[in-house]
Amino acid sequence: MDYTHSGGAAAGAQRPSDPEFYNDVDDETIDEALNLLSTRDHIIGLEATVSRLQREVDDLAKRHVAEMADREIQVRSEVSADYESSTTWRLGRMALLPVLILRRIRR
Amino acid sequence: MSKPLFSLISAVSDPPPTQLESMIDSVLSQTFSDWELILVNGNSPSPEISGILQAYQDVDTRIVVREWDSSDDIVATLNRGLEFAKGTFVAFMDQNDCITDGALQEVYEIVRNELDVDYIYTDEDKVDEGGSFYEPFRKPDWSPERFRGQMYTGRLSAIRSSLVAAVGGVRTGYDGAYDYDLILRVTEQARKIVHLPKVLYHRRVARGCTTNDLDRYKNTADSSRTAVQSHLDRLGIEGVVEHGPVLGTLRIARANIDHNLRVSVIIPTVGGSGFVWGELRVFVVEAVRSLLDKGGHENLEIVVVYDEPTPTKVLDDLKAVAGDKLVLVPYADEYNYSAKNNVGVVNARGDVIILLNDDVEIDSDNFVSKLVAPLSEPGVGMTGARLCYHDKTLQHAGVSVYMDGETPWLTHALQHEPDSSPGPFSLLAVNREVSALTAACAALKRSTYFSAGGFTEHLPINFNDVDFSLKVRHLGLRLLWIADAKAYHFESRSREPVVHEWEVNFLLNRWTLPPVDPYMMPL
Repeated sequence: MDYTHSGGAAAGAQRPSDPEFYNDVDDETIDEALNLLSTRDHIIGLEATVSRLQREVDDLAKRHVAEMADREIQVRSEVSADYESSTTWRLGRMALLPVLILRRIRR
Repeated sequence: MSKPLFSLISAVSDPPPTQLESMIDSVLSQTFSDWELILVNGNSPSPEISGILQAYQDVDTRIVVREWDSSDDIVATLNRGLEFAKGTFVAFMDQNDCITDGALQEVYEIVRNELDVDYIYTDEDKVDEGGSFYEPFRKPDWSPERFRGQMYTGRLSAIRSSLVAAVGGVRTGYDGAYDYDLILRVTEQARKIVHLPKVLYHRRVARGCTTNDLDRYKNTADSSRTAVQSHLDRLGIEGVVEHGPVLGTLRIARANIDHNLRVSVIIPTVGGSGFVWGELRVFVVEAVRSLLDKGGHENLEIVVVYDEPTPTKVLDDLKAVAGDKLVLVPYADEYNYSAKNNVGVVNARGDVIILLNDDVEIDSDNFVSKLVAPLSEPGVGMTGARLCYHDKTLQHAGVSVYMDGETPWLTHALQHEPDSSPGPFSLLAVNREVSALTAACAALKRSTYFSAGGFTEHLPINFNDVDFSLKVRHLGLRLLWIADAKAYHFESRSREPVVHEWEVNFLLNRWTLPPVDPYMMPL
């Protein structure tokens, strides 16, 4: 039976008298514990990075929505200005002017 | 009348008329309109005051005046006000104080966005008799441990009315500290507590006010101590509340930790020596000696992780000093402070870990218990010590972590202050939450160390403790700086640590640093 790995001891094998065996077990346990720490460190690091990136994406999205809203207002006012300065709109308005005046007088 | 959002309650007791008017006017000036102001006139023999109150009540239906013949009993007077309050949130105002024009609008914004908020407190300042504002108190974000040391939340404080009722309103027996007692009971049960970091309340400091009255101050301090003791008893925290070194501050002498609890102290070293107070010392040997002398805890395991160049004599001296408490762990790899601590912890068998630099000397008696006891309380992840340089100036009182524009700041708070200094708003006199702790002396459960993934070995020299602190907080745990767990740290005052850009970038890639430190607002 191979006693050089802790799996043998875990399986209930007869314990050897060789102290080297226990040194190996200890070393393996310590290595595993260090690996565990390192893995946890990576996981938390990734979680933190994902949170940070998510926050940045959210901020960008918010900023984008705000910019789009501003742009919409700007475009609307530009369209309105264009519309009111167009010849068609002016002619229409002149044509309807008597009607508007009459309505105002009747009120 | 429909139910308002805010009920402001003020006990009126023969105030200077102009100050009373100023207080009421500050409420009337609010840009937010959904409020009621309840003025409980308890002890104002002057007909002028009654006239003022009546005039305001006639002008605005949101102002409600109630007479109450309980004269000096402020608690009964305020409870009377609470009986009449219809608001979803209540806030007490002193009859001499003022709120800023936008105060309620600002608080409303919090209520609107944080539906489960039960308690909101804002920053405040003082106003003198000439009307000048001074001494703004930029309060920390919610810090339960600091709150046990001083009633820092003050005003403006808006509390959900249903919670005030649930905890039994204002209680007698806490003369001068009735609000401290109330807020302690409220915060024990609040779902969410929000700090609004804007000065929205002006506290008037004038002749006859309690802030200038030493006798009343002492009385308030006694009541505060009673209130915090009751709070600890309710939470099942074993400890005795004592007056702190500054009048008005408190300290908790927690019960000693179980003597069966094994505490492992991890000390990385290379066996260095140097002169301290005129004497040559081997740092690690004296660190261990002081720990055994002052630690006050028998069940210690001292894990010394030593680099190979460590002189054999140093190891022999350690064995002589620490005996069977000593575990020597050789470290043969390239220097990496993080890796050395990780190796130390995995070789340790204690349920609690104390990380200790070798150039530290323990000063406070019962040091281990002071540092370790809070770890058994819910939400506490790590504790750190008050560290002083050899010249009795502060080396460590917590680490501030924030971004100033594009520049990250990771600085020791109030470094080089005299050890005897109480610090601004007594923050050095009380235990408090901090953003990060130095690993030169810190305690945590072994399970927390593993949950946080230990120290990142990507940061071998700088910022590994800041990163580790942020990881512990990422787990939802708080970091406490313990004001009366004092040790000396013989790190050179003049040492300029060389910080590499890649170290800073590692942190910034991992973490979002806040624009201001939540526990150490700009002074």
